[in-house]
Amino acid sequence: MAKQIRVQSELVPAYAVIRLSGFLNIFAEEEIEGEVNRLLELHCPLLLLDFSQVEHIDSAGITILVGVAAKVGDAQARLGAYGLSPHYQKIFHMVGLDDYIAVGEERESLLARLQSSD
Amino acid sequence: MAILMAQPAASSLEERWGTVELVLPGDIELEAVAVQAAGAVAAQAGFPPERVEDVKTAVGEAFINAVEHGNRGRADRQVTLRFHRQGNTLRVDVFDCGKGFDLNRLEAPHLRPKIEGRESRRGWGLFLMRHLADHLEVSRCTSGGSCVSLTIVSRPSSLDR
Repeated sequence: MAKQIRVQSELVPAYAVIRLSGFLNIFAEEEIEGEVNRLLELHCPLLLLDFSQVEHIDSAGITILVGVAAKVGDAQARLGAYGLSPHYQKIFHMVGLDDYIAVGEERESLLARLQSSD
Repeated sequence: MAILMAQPAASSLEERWGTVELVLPGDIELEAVAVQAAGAVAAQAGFPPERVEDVKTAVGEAFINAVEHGNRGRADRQVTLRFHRQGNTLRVDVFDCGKGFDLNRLEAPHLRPKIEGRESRRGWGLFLMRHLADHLEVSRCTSGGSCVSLTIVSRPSSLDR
């Protein structure tokens, strides 16, 4: 049985948090994209991805995140990520994802930074 | 499903398990097994935590490449991961049943055109292997199949300091 992602989200008026846990790989695509689409259809202006329970991100997971960044940008919403381990912060920077996804150590400080730049 | 073999015991840690081999069915659902085995071997070899993570990611990508491209998704074809430890270096050979590929003919991916939808969003596996390993090579096996070899040196990264 493959390790699979679990996706849960919390929507407040100003933003939504998508909590990911497990393996972010090819099996996660449908669930993550479905949740992002749902939140964007609700006109959520800011999506935060919580990676604190993510065990592993592979190249297919990077591909999913590239798609999410594109979709959020097209919807003129903003995207942030927190809870990334130092290893995945390094990979985000290596790939260039941190040019499209604001990365913070934890939720409150990231939220404060994104909301102060409004 | 998986066979894990270590060389016979000897006096030093390095001699005790100079080589560890894991044979898996070529099933993408076993990616986690390859990743976790790679992490366990690197940690046992004394790699610092961030280099253990580099090993896990690079070996996971080599496994995915072997399954998807080498074995063309056929789960009845095996993927063999062979870990060789020598001093502060870990070499991981990942064998599949394919014909291999020319590393020099594969271009580095660029994010902007992928974000803008002007090219496929895929293509990060080799990029990750190249950036996380100290050396990467692809070879054909005389007995058939091909091998992706990753060499990773155990050194503290900036993230471990």
